[in-house]
Amino acid sequence: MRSHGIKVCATVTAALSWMAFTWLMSFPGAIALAQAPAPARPPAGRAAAPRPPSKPTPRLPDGKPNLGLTPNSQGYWGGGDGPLVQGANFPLKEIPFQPWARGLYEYRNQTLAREDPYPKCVPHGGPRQFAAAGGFQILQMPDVQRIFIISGGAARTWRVIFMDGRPHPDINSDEFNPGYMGHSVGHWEGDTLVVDTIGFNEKEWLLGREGMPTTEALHLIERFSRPDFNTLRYEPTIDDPGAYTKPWSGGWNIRWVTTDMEEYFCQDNERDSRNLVGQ
Amino acid sequence: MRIIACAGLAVVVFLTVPTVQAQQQNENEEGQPVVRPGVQVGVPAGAPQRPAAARPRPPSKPTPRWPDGKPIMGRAPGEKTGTWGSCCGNLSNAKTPFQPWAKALFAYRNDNQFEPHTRCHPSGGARQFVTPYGSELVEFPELKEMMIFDIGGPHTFRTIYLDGRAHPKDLKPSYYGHSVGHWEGDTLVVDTVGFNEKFWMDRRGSPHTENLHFIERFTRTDHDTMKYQATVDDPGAYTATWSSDTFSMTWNPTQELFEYVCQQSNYAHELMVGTLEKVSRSEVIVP
Repeated sequence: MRSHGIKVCATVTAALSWMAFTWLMSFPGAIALAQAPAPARPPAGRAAAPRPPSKPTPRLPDGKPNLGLTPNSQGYWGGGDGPLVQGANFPLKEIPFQPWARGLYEYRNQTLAREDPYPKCVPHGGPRQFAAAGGFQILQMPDVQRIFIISGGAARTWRVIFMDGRPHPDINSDEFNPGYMGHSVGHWEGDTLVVDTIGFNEKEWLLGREGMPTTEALHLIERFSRPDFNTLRYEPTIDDPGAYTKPWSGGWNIRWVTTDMEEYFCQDNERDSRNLVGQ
Repeated sequence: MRIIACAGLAVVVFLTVPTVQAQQQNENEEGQPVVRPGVQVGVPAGAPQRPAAARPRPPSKPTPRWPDGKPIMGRAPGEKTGTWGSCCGNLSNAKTPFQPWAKALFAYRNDNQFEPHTRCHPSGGARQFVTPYGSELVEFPELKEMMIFDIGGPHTFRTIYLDGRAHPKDLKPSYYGHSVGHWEGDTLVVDTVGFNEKFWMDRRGSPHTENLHFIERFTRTDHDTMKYQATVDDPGAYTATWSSDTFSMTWNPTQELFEYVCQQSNYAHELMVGTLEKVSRSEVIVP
Protein backbone atom coordinates (compact mmCIF):
# COMPACT_ATOMS: atom_id res chain seq x y z
CA MET A 1 0.00 0.00 0.00
CA ARG A 2 2.75 2.46 -0.71
CA SER A 3 3.84 3.52 -4.17
CA HIS A 4 2.41 0.43 -5.82
CA GLY A 5 -0.93 1.19 -4.27
CA ILE A 6 -1.30 4.27 -6.39
CA LYS A 7 -1.16 2.19 -9.52
CA VAL A 8 -3.52 -0.48 -8.46
CA CYS A 9 -6.29 1.03 -6.56
CA ALA A 10 -8.36 4.11 -6.91
CA THR A 11 -9.47 3.96 -3.32
CA VAL A 12 -5.95 3.80 -2.10
CA THR A 13 -5.02 6.60 -4.43
CA ALA A 14 -7.73 8.75 -3.01
CA ALA A 15 -6.79 7.76 0.48
CA LEU A 16 -3.16 8.54 -0.10
CA SER A 17 -4.00 11.89 -1.61
CA TRP A 18 -6.08 12.68 1.38
CA MET A 19 -3.35 11.42 3.66
CA ALA A 20 -0.83 13.60 1.93
CA PHE A 21 -3.14 16.54 2.32
CA THR A 22 -3.86 15.91 5.95
CA TRP A 23 -0.22 15.18 6.57
CA LEU A 24 0.67 18.53 5.08
CA MET A 25 -2.05 20.16 7.10
CA SER A 26 -0.65 18.61 10.20
CA PHE A 27 2.37 20.83 10.26
CA PRO A 28 2.47 24.16 12.00
CA GLY A 29 1.58 26.83 9.54
CA ALA A 30 0.13 24.39 7.05
CA ILE A 31 -3.29 25.94 7.01
CA ALA A 32 -1.91 29.36 6.32
CA LEU A 33 0.28 27.86 3.61
CA ALA A 34 -2.66 26.06 2.06
CA GLN A 35 -4.71 29.19 1.91
CA ALA A 36 -2.06 31.48 0.48
CA PRO A 37 0.24 30.15 -2.24
CA ALA A 38 3.62 29.61 -0.72
CA PRO A 39 6.52 27.29 -1.36
CA ALA A 40 6.14 23.87 0.18
CA ARG A 41 8.33 23.29 3.15
CA PRO A 42 10.28 20.16 3.86
CA PRO A 43 8.75 18.16 6.66
CA ALA A 44 11.87 17.90 8.76
CA GLY A 45 14.10 20.62 10.08
CA ARG A 46 11.70 23.24 8.90
CA ALA A 47 12.23 26.75 10.06
CA ALA A 48 9.40 28.14 12.06
CA ALA A 49 6.86 29.95 9.93
CA PRO A 50 5.08 30.24 13.15
CA ARG A 51 1.47 29.31 13.27
CA PRO A 52 -0.27 31.72 15.56
CA PRO A 53 -0.13 30.48 19.12
CA SER A 54 -2.85 27.96 19.77
CA LYS A 55 -5.75 28.88 21.95
CA PRO A 56 -5.70 27.05 25.26
CA THR A 57 -7.29 23.68 25.80
CA PRO A 58 -11.06 24.10 25.66
CA ARG A 59 -12.97 22.72 28.60
CA LEU A 60 -16.44 21.39 29.30
CA PRO A 61 -18.58 22.87 32.07
CA ASP A 62 -17.39 20.10 34.38
CA GLY A 63 -13.79 21.25 33.92
CA LYS A 64 -12.63 18.27 31.87
CA PRO A 65 -10.87 19.00 28.61
CA ASN A 66 -13.17 19.17 25.62
CA LEU A 67 -11.52 16.78 23.17
CA GLY A 68 -13.72 17.81 20.29
CA LEU A 69 -15.83 20.57 18.85
CA THR A 70 -16.62 23.69 20.79
CA PRO A 71 -20.04 25.31 20.38
CA ASN A 72 -20.57 27.51 17.34
CA SER A 73 -17.47 26.33 15.53
CA GLN A 74 -16.37 23.87 12.89
CA GLY A 75 -13.57 21.39 13.03
CA TYR A 76 -12.30 17.86 13.44
CA TRP A 77 -9.07 16.03 14.06
CA GLY A 78 -7.11 15.48 10.88
CA GLY A 79 -6.00 12.00 9.99
CA GLY A 80 -3.37 10.48 7.82
CA ASP A 81 -0.54 11.04 10.23
CA GLY A 82 1.51 9.04 12.60
CA PRO A 83 2.27 5.45 11.69
CA LEU A 84 2.58 3.82 15.03
CA VAL A 85 6.24 2.95 14.78
CA GLN A 86 7.21 6.56 14.08
CA GLY A 87 5.92 7.61 17.44
CA ALA A 88 6.87 4.48 19.32
CA ASN A 89 8.95 4.88 22.37
CA PHE A 90 11.61 2.58 20.98
CA PRO A 91 12.87 1.68 17.52
CA LEU A 92 11.06 -0.75 15.30
CA LYS A 93 13.73 -3.37 15.81
CA GLU A 94 13.01 -3.27 19.50
CA ILE A 95 9.29 -3.87 19.23
CA PRO A 96 8.89 -6.99 21.33
CA PHE A 97 7.45 -9.24 18.64
CA GLN A 98 6.93 -12.87 19.38
CA PRO A 99 8.69 -14.84 16.66
CA TRP A 100 5.52 -15.70 14.75
CA ALA A 101 4.34 -12.11 14.92
CA ARG A 102 7.65 -10.82 13.58
CA GLY A 103 7.43 -13.38 10.80
CA LEU A 104 3.92 -12.31 9.88
CA TYR A 105 4.92 -8.65 10.03
CA GLU A 106 7.83 -9.32 7.68
CA TYR A 107 5.66 -11.39 5.36
CA ARG A 108 3.12 -8.58 5.17
CA ASN A 109 5.85 -6.15 4.23
CA GLN A 110 7.43 -8.47 1.70
CA THR A 111 4.03 -8.93 0.06
CA LEU A 112 3.52 -5.16 -0.09
CA ALA A 113 0.60 -5.24 2.31
CA ARG A 114 -1.60 -6.81 -0.33
CA GLU A 115 -3.63 -8.61 2.31
CA ASP A 116 -4.40 -5.47 4.25
CA PRO A 117 -8.14 -5.62 5.03
CA TYR A 118 -8.40 -1.84 5.30
CA PRO A 119 -8.81 -1.18 1.55
CA LYS A 120 -11.69 -3.65 1.58
CA CYS A 121 -13.58 -1.15 3.70
CA VAL A 122 -13.77 -3.04 6.94
CA PRO A 123 -13.73 -0.77 9.98
CA HIS A 124 -10.39 0.50 11.17
CA GLY A 125 -10.43 0.11 14.91
CA GLY A 126 -7.60 0.55 17.35
CA PRO A 127 -4.72 2.95 16.72
CA ARG A 128 -5.42 2.86 13.00
CA GLN A 129 -8.53 4.91 13.63
CA PHE A 130 -6.28 7.81 14.50
CA ALA A 131 -3.80 7.40 11.67
CA ALA A 132 -6.22 6.91 8.79
CA ALA A 133 -7.20 9.42 6.16
CA GLY A 134 -10.39 11.36 6.69
CA GLY A 135 -9.86 12.27 10.31
CA PHE A 136 -12.20 11.83 13.23
CA GLN A 137 -14.33 13.57 15.80
CA ILE A 138 -14.55 12.98 19.52
CA LEU A 139 -18.03 13.65 20.91
CA GLN A 140 -18.20 13.75 24.68
CA MET A 141 -21.50 13.26 26.47
CA PRO A 142 -20.72 13.76 30.14
CA ASP A 143 -24.40 13.75 31.09
CA VAL A 144 -24.91 10.21 29.88
CA GLN A 145 -21.32 9.15 30.45
CA ARG A 146 -20.53 8.10 26.92
CA ILE A 147 -18.01 9.29 24.36
CA PHE A 148 -18.46 8.66 20.65
CA ILE A 149 -15.53 8.65 18.26
CA ILE A 150 -16.66 8.96 14.67
CA SER A 151 -14.37 8.51 11.69
CA GLY A 152 -14.57 10.71 8.63
CA GLY A 153 -12.94 8.33 6.19
CA ALA A 154 -12.39 4.67 5.38
CA ALA A 155 -15.53 2.81 6.41
CA ARG A 156 -16.79 5.99 8.12
CA THR A 157 -17.86 4.19 11.21
CA TRP A 158 -17.98 4.92 14.92
CA ARG A 159 -17.21 3.54 18.35
CA VAL A 160 -18.53 4.14 21.83
CA ILE A 161 -16.49 4.57 25.02
CA PHE A 162 -18.45 3.94 28.18
CA MET A 163 -17.54 6.35 30.96
CA ASP A 164 -20.04 5.11 33.54
CA GLY A 165 -17.69 2.76 35.33
CA ARG A 166 -19.15 -0.40 33.87
CA PRO A 167 -16.79 -3.37 33.57
CA HIS A 168 -15.85 -5.08 30.34
CA PRO A 169 -18.09 -7.99 29.37
CA ASP A 170 -16.72 -11.51 29.59
CA ILE A 171 -15.05 -11.72 26.20
CA ASN A 172 -14.69 -15.48 26.56
CA SER A 173 -18.44 -15.89 26.82
CA ASP A 174 -20.37 -17.35 23.92
CA GLU A 175 -22.49 -14.23 24.06
CA PHE A 176 -19.59 -11.95 23.16
CA ASN A 177 -18.64 -11.26 19.57
CA PRO A 178 -15.11 -9.95 19.09
CA GLY A 179 -15.27 -6.82 16.97
CA TYR A 180 -13.22 -4.36 14.97
CA MET A 181 -13.72 -1.73 17.66
CA GLY A 182 -13.79 -3.94 20.73
CA HIS A 183 -15.40 -2.95 24.02
CA SER A 184 -14.09 0.34 25.42
CA VAL A 185 -14.39 1.81 28.88
CA GLY A 186 -12.75 5.07 29.87
CA HIS A 187 -11.87 7.25 32.81
CA TRP A 188 -10.01 10.50 33.41
CA GLU A 189 -6.57 10.72 34.95
CA GLY A 190 -6.22 14.44 35.45
CA ASP A 191 -6.58 15.98 32.01
CA THR A 192 -5.91 12.70 30.21
CA LEU A 193 -8.67 10.44 28.97
CA VAL A 194 -7.59 6.83 29.46
CA VAL A 195 -9.50 4.26 27.42
CA ASP A 196 -9.20 0.55 28.02
CA THR A 197 -10.37 -1.77 25.27
CA ILE A 198 -10.58 -5.54 24.87
CA GLY A 199 -12.66 -7.79 22.66
CA PHE A 200 -10.99 -7.18 19.31
CA ASN A 201 -11.22 -9.56 16.40
CA GLU A 202 -8.22 -10.36 14.23
CA LYS A 203 -9.69 -9.27 10.94
CA GLU A 204 -8.11 -5.85 10.58
CA TRP A 205 -4.54 -4.55 10.84
CA LEU A 206 -5.40 -2.45 13.84
CA LEU A 207 -1.91 -1.04 14.30
CA GLY A 208 -1.66 0.41 10.84
CA ARG A 209 -0.68 -0.38 7.30
CA GLU A 210 2.72 -1.57 8.46
CA GLY A 211 0.93 -4.78 9.39
CA MET A 212 2.07 -5.41 12.92
CA PRO A 213 -0.29 -8.17 13.99
CA THR A 214 -2.62 -8.34 16.94
CA THR A 215 -4.64 -11.19 18.37
CA GLU A 216 -7.93 -11.54 20.22
CA ALA A 217 -5.86 -11.23 23.38
CA LEU A 218 -5.16 -7.58 22.56
CA HIS A 219 -5.67 -5.26 25.49
CA LEU A 220 -5.37 -1.72 24.17
CA ILE A 221 -4.84 1.24 26.46
CA GLU A 222 -5.21 4.62 24.77
CA ARG A 223 -4.35 7.95 26.33
CA PHE A 224 -5.89 11.09 24.84
CA SER A 225 -4.89 14.56 25.90
CA ARG A 226 -5.32 18.00 24.38
CA PRO A 227 -2.33 20.09 25.42
CA ASP A 228 -3.67 23.06 23.50
CA PHE A 229 -6.64 23.82 21.28
CA ASN A 230 -4.97 22.68 18.07
CA THR A 231 -3.29 19.52 19.30
CA LEU A 232 -4.50 16.10 20.32
CA ARG A 233 -1.90 13.76 21.76
CA TYR A 234 -2.68 10.09 21.16
CA GLU A 235 -0.65 7.47 23.00
CA PRO A 236 -1.61 3.82 22.63
CA THR A 237 -0.14 0.99 24.64
CA ILE A 238 -0.26 -2.41 22.98
CA ASP A 239 -0.66 -5.15 25.55
CA ASP A 240 -1.14 -8.29 23.50
CA PRO A 241 0.41 -11.39 25.03
CA GLY A 242 -0.71 -13.27 21.95
CA ALA A 243 1.71 -11.44 19.67
CA TYR A 244 4.25 -9.55 21.81
CA THR A 245 6.47 -10.52 24.68
CA LYS A 246 5.66 -7.39 26.66
CA PRO A 247 3.50 -4.27 26.38
CA TRP A 248 4.83 -1.44 24.25
CA SER A 249 3.71 2.07 23.51
CA GLY A 250 3.72 4.69 20.80
CA GLY A 251 2.15 8.05 20.27
CA TRP A 252 1.73 10.98 17.99
CA ASN A 253 0.16 14.41 17.74
CA ILE A 254 -2.92 15.11 15.67
CA ARG A 255 -3.82 18.57 14.41
CA TRP A 256 -7.16 20.32 14.55
CA VAL A 257 -8.68 21.11 11.17
CA THR A 258 -11.11 24.00 11.06
CA THR A 259 -13.67 22.78 8.56
CA ASP A 260 -16.56 20.33 8.79
CA MET A 261 -15.59 16.72 8.29
CA GLU A 262 -16.55 15.69 4.76
CA GLU A 263 -18.48 12.59 3.83
CA TYR A 264 -16.17 9.89 2.50
CA PHE A 265 -17.02 6.22 2.18
CA CYS A 266 -14.48 3.60 1.26
CA GLN A 267 -17.32 1.48 -0.13
CA ASP A 268 -17.91 4.09 -2.78
CA ASN A 269 -14.93 2.89 -4.73
CA GLU A 270 -14.21 -0.51 -3.37
CA ARG A 271 -12.39 -2.38 -6.09
CA ASP A 272 -9.48 -3.46 -4.04
CA SER A 273 -10.24 -7.07 -3.47
CA ARG A 274 -9.91 -7.50 -7.22
CA ASN A 275 -7.12 -5.02 -7.75
CA LEU A 276 -4.67 -5.39 -4.92
CA VAL A 277 -1.22 -6.52 -5.97
CA GLY A 278 -1.03 -10.20 -6.60
CA GLN A 279 -4.67 -11.00 -6.19
CA MET B 1 -18.59 -13.23 15.34
CA ARG B 2 -20.25 -15.98 13.46
CA ILE B 3 -23.61 -14.51 14.27
CA ILE B 4 -22.78 -11.19 12.72
CA ALA B 5 -21.11 -12.73 9.70
CA CYS B 6 -24.13 -14.89 9.14
CA ALA B 7 -26.51 -12.02 9.51
CA GLY B 8 -24.56 -10.00 7.00
CA LEU B 9 -24.72 -12.71 4.40
CA ALA B 10 -28.28 -13.51 5.32
CA VAL B 11 -29.31 -9.96 4.55
CA VAL B 12 -28.10 -10.52 1.02
CA VAL B 13 -30.08 -13.70 0.68
CA PHE B 14 -33.00 -12.44 2.65
CA LEU B 15 -33.81 -9.72 0.17
CA THR B 16 -34.28 -12.24 -2.61
CA VAL B 17 -37.23 -14.07 -1.12
CA PRO B 18 -38.30 -12.15 1.93
CA THR B 19 -40.95 -14.50 3.19
CA VAL B 20 -38.78 -17.60 3.19
CA GLN B 21 -35.38 -16.14 3.85
CA ALA B 22 -36.54 -14.06 6.76
CA GLN B 23 -36.35 -17.28 8.73
CA GLN B 24 -32.70 -17.74 7.84
CA GLN B 25 -31.75 -14.40 9.20
CA ASN B 26 -33.06 -15.52 12.54
CA GLU B 27 -30.63 -18.38 12.67
CA ASN B 28 -26.92 -18.80 12.88
CA GLU B 29 -24.98 -21.44 11.02
CA GLU B 30 -26.11 -24.15 13.40
CA GLY B 31 -29.70 -23.13 12.95
CA GLN B 32 -29.86 -21.81 16.48
CA PRO B 33 -32.05 -18.77 16.89
CA VAL B 34 -30.17 -15.51 17.09
CA VAL B 35 -32.00 -13.24 19.44
CA ARG B 36 -30.67 -10.01 20.77
CA PRO B 37 -32.66 -8.48 23.54
CA GLY B 38 -35.20 -6.05 22.27
CA VAL B 39 -34.28 -6.43 18.62
CA GLN B 40 -36.70 -7.74 16.08
CA VAL B 41 -34.27 -9.69 13.99
CA GLY B 42 -35.52 -10.67 10.61
CA VAL B 43 -38.59 -8.52 10.38
CA PRO B 44 -39.07 -8.17 6.64
CA ALA B 45 -38.27 -4.68 5.50
CA GLY B 46 -41.38 -2.62 5.43
CA ALA B 47 -43.40 -5.02 7.54
CA PRO B 48 -45.40 -3.51 10.34
CA GLN B 49 -43.65 -3.42 13.67
CA ARG B 50 -44.69 -6.20 15.99
CA PRO B 51 -44.12 -6.40 19.69
CA ALA B 52 -41.12 -8.59 20.48
CA ALA B 53 -43.26 -10.86 22.62
CA ALA B 54 -46.87 -11.92 22.35
CA ARG B 55 -47.51 -10.17 25.63
CA PRO B 56 -48.78 -6.66 24.98
CA ARG B 57 -46.36 -3.88 25.72
CA PRO B 58 -47.22 -1.90 28.81
CA PRO B 59 -48.58 1.58 28.16
CA SER B 60 -45.83 3.96 27.21
CA LYS B 61 -44.54 6.69 29.46
CA PRO B 62 -45.04 10.20 28.12
CA THR B 63 -42.57 11.86 25.79
CA PRO B 64 -39.38 12.76 27.70
CA ARG B 65 -38.41 16.41 27.45
CA TRP B 66 -35.37 18.62 27.89
CA PRO B 67 -35.52 21.43 30.44
CA ASP B 68 -36.48 23.81 27.62
CA GLY B 69 -39.55 21.68 26.89
CA LYS B 70 -38.36 20.19 23.60
CA PRO B 71 -38.81 16.43 23.21
CA ILE B 72 -35.75 14.27 23.80
CA MET B 73 -35.21 12.27 20.63
CA GLY B 74 -32.99 9.58 22.14
CA ARG B 75 -32.14 8.37 25.60
CA ALA B 76 -33.45 10.52 28.42
CA PRO B 77 -31.06 11.33 31.27
CA GLY B 78 -30.66 8.26 33.40
CA GLU B 79 -31.40 5.81 30.60
CA LYS B 80 -28.31 3.68 30.05
CA THR B 81 -29.69 1.76 27.10
CA GLY B 82 -32.29 2.19 24.39
CA THR B 83 -32.42 2.45 20.62
CA TRP B 84 -35.11 2.94 18.01
CA GLY B 85 -36.32 -0.09 16.09
CA SER B 86 -36.41 -0.09 12.31
CA CYS B 87 -39.14 1.47 10.29
CA CYS B 88 -40.17 3.12 7.08
CA GLY B 89 -40.16 0.52 4.34
CA ASN B 90 -41.53 2.28 1.31
CA LEU B 91 -42.14 5.97 0.87
CA SER B 92 -44.05 5.94 -2.40
CA ASN B 93 -47.59 4.70 -2.79
CA ALA B 94 -50.37 4.52 -5.37
CA LYS B 95 -50.75 8.28 -5.43
CA THR B 96 -47.08 9.10 -5.91
CA PRO B 97 -46.63 11.32 -8.99
CA PHE B 98 -43.81 9.43 -10.70
CA GLN B 99 -42.37 10.75 -13.89
CA PRO B 100 -42.58 7.98 -16.50
CA TRP B 101 -38.90 7.08 -16.34
CA ALA B 102 -39.03 6.99 -12.56
CA LYS B 103 -42.06 4.72 -12.59
CA ALA B 104 -40.31 2.37 -14.98
CA LEU B 105 -37.16 2.36 -12.86
CA PHE B 106 -39.21 1.72 -9.73
CA ALA B 107 -40.81 -1.31 -11.41
CA TYR B 108 -37.42 -2.54 -12.60
CA ARG B 109 -35.94 -2.22 -9.14
CA ASN B 110 -38.80 -4.18 -7.64
CA ASP B 111 -38.23 -6.97 -10.11
CA ASN B 112 -34.47 -7.08 -9.76
CA GLN B 113 -33.54 -5.77 -6.32
CA PHE B 114 -30.05 -4.65 -7.27
CA GLU B 115 -29.84 -2.45 -4.27
CA PRO B 116 -26.59 -0.71 -3.30
CA HIS B 117 -27.42 -1.14 0.39
CA THR B 118 -26.87 -4.87 0.12
CA ARG B 119 -23.36 -4.18 -1.15
CA CYS B 120 -22.66 -2.29 2.05
CA HIS B 121 -23.07 1.16 0.59
CA PRO B 122 -24.59 3.70 2.91
CA SER B 123 -28.18 4.69 2.28
CA GLY B 124 -29.53 8.15 2.84
CA GLY B 125 -33.13 9.17 3.06
CA ALA B 126 -35.54 6.84 4.81
CA ARG B 127 -33.52 3.75 3.88
CA GLN B 128 -31.14 4.25 6.78
CA PHE B 129 -33.94 3.33 9.17
CA VAL B 130 -34.74 0.05 7.41
CA THR B 131 -32.21 -2.35 8.85
CA PRO B 132 -33.11 -5.13 11.25
CA TYR B 133 -31.16 -3.54 14.06
CA GLY B 134 -32.41 0.01 14.25
CA SER B 135 -30.56 3.13 15.20
CA GLU B 136 -29.93 5.61 17.96
CA LEU B 137 -30.72 9.30 17.72
CA VAL B 138 -28.21 11.23 19.82
CA GLU B 139 -28.58 14.92 20.52
CA PHE B 140 -25.69 17.21 21.38
CA PRO B 141 -27.53 20.26 22.68
CA GLU B 142 -24.39 22.33 23.31
CA LEU B 143 -23.15 21.75 19.78
CA LYS B 144 -26.65 22.13 18.34
CA GLU B 145 -26.31 18.90 16.43
CA MET B 146 -28.08 15.58 16.32
CA MET B 147 -26.44 12.43 15.05
CA ILE B 148 -28.07 9.24 13.89
CA PHE B 149 -26.00 6.15 14.56
CA ASP B 150 -27.01 3.13 12.49
CA ILE B 151 -26.22 -0.31 13.83
CA GLY B 152 -26.90 -2.19 10.61
CA GLY B 153 -25.72 -1.77 7.05
CA PRO B 154 -22.30 -0.14 6.93
CA HIS B 155 -22.56 0.86 10.63
CA THR B 156 -22.19 4.53 9.97
CA PHE B 157 -23.63 7.85 11.10
CA ARG B 158 -25.33 10.99 9.87
CA THR B 159 -25.17 14.54 11.18
CA ILE B 160 -28.11 16.96 11.40
CA TYR B 161 -27.19 20.57 12.16
CA LEU B 162 -29.65 22.33 14.46
CA ASP B 163 -27.81 25.64 14.77
CA GLY B 164 -29.82 27.49 12.16
CA ARG B 165 -27.17 27.32 9.46
CA ALA B 166 -28.23 27.26 5.80
CA HIS B 167 -27.29 24.58 3.30
CA PRO B 168 -23.92 25.42 1.74
CA LYS B 169 -23.83 26.30 -1.91
CA ASP B 170 -22.11 23.93 -4.34
CA LEU B 171 -22.51 20.85 -2.17
CA LYS B 172 -20.61 17.81 -3.32
CA PRO B 173 -23.31 15.13 -3.76
CA SER B 174 -23.15 12.56 -0.98
CA TYR B 175 -25.07 9.61 0.43
CA TYR B 176 -26.54 11.47 3.36
CA GLY B 177 -26.59 14.93 1.86
CA HIS B 178 -26.50 18.02 4.04
CA SER B 179 -29.14 18.06 6.77
CA VAL B 180 -30.38 21.00 8.80
CA GLY B 181 -33.21 20.79 11.29
CA HIS B 182 -35.59 23.02 13.15
CA TRP B 183 -38.52 22.54 15.50
CA GLU B 184 -42.14 23.06 14.57
CA GLY B 185 -43.87 22.55 17.89
CA ASP B 186 -42.96 19.05 19.02
CA THR B 187 -41.87 17.95 15.56
CA LEU B 188 -38.25 18.03 14.43
CA VAL B 189 -38.27 18.96 10.76
CA VAL B 190 -35.10 17.96 8.94
CA ASP B 191 -34.37 19.43 5.54
CA THR B 192 -31.76 17.71 3.39
CA VAL B 193 -30.25 18.45 -0.01
CA GLY B 194 -27.02 17.46 -1.73
CA PHE B 195 -27.72 13.77 -2.27
CA ASN B 196 -25.92 11.60 -4.76
CA GLU B 197 -27.85 9.03 -6.83
CA LYS B 198 -25.93 5.98 -5.69
CA PHE B 199 -28.44 4.70 -3.15
CA TRP B 200 -32.13 3.90 -2.83
CA MET B 201 -33.88 6.38 -0.59
CA ASP B 202 -36.30 3.69 0.60
CA ARG B 203 -36.38 -0.07 0.74
CA ARG B 204 -38.41 -0.51 -2.43
CA GLY B 205 -36.35 1.81 -4.55
CA SER B 206 -38.49 4.87 -5.12
CA PRO B 207 -36.12 6.70 -7.46
CA HIS B 208 -34.52 10.04 -6.79
CA THR B 209 -32.07 12.36 -8.51
CA GLU B 210 -29.46 14.86 -7.35
CA ASN B 211 -32.30 17.38 -7.32
CA LEU B 212 -33.81 15.63 -4.32
CA HIS B 213 -34.92 17.93 -1.55
CA PHE B 214 -35.94 15.64 1.28
CA ILE B 215 -37.94 16.78 4.28
CA GLU B 216 -38.33 14.46 7.25
CA ARG B 217 -40.64 14.98 10.21
CA PHE B 218 -39.72 13.24 13.47
CA THR B 219 -42.36 13.37 16.21
CA ARG B 220 -41.93 11.51 19.48
CA THR B 221 -45.57 11.07 20.39
CA ASP B 222 -44.83 9.16 23.58
CA HIS B 223 -41.75 7.64 25.17
CA ASP B 224 -41.87 4.52 23.05
CA THR B 225 -42.99 5.92 19.70
CA MET B 226 -41.26 8.02 17.08
CA LYS B 227 -43.47 8.97 14.16
CA TYR B 228 -41.63 9.50 10.89
CA GLN B 229 -42.91 11.02 7.71
CA ALA B 230 -41.02 12.17 4.65
CA THR B 231 -41.82 14.68 1.94
CA VAL B 232 -40.11 14.22 -1.40
CA ASP B 233 -39.45 17.27 -3.51
CA ASP B 234 -37.54 16.01 -6.52
CA PRO B 235 -38.42 17.63 -9.83
CA GLY B 236 -35.98 15.25 -11.47
CA ALA B 237 -38.11 12.18 -10.79
CA TYR B 238 -41.61 13.34 -9.85
CA THR B 239 -44.13 15.74 -11.31
CA ALA B 240 -45.08 17.22 -7.95
CA THR B 241 -43.99 17.24 -4.33
CA TRP B 242 -45.47 14.31 -2.41
CA SER B 243 -45.47 12.88 1.09
CA SER B 244 -45.14 9.39 2.45
CA ASP B 245 -47.45 7.72 4.90
CA THR B 246 -46.54 8.16 8.55
CA PHE B 247 -44.40 5.37 9.97
CA SER B 248 -43.52 4.47 13.55
CA MET B 249 -40.25 3.52 15.15
CA THR B 250 -40.58 1.68 18.45
CA TRP B 251 -38.24 2.19 21.39
CA ASN B 252 -36.21 -0.86 22.42
CA PRO B 253 -35.48 0.08 26.04
CA THR B 254 -32.87 -2.55 26.79
CA GLN B 255 -30.94 -2.39 23.55
CA GLU B 256 -27.36 -1.13 23.56
CA LEU B 257 -25.54 -0.16 20.39
CA PHE B 258 -23.51 -3.06 19.09
CA GLU B 259 -21.10 -3.66 16.27
CA TYR B 260 -22.52 -4.98 13.02
CA VAL B 261 -20.48 -4.59 9.89
CA CYS B 262 -21.97 -5.31 6.49
CA GLN B 263 -18.56 -5.19 4.84
CA GLN B 264 -17.43 -8.18 6.81
CA SER B 265 -19.63 -10.35 4.67
CA ASN B 266 -19.27 -8.30 1.54
CA TYR B 267 -19.36 -11.11 -0.95
CA ALA B 268 -21.48 -9.12 -3.34
CA HIS B 269 -18.98 -8.73 -6.13
CA GLU B 270 -17.96 -12.37 -5.91
CA LEU B 271 -21.62 -13.27 -6.18
CA MET B 272 -22.02 -11.04 -9.17
CA VAL B 273 -18.96 -11.87 -11.18
CA GLY B 274 -18.97 -15.51 -10.30
CA THR B 275 -15.67 -15.87 -8.49
CA LEU B 276 -17.38 -17.59 -5.59
CA GLU B 277 -17.67 -21.11 -6.92
CA LYS B 278 -20.23 -22.36 -4.46
CA VAL B 279 -22.82 -19.87 -5.62
CA SER B 280 -25.47 -21.11 -7.98
CA ARG B 281 -25.33 -19.55 -11.41
CA SER B 282 -28.84 -20.65 -12.27
CA GLU B 283 -30.70 -17.68 -10.89
CA VAL B 284 -30.35 -14.01 -10.14
CA ILE B 285 -28.37 -13.36 -6.99
CA VAL B 286 -29.18 -10.19 -5.20
CA PRO B 287 -25.98 -8.20 -4.88
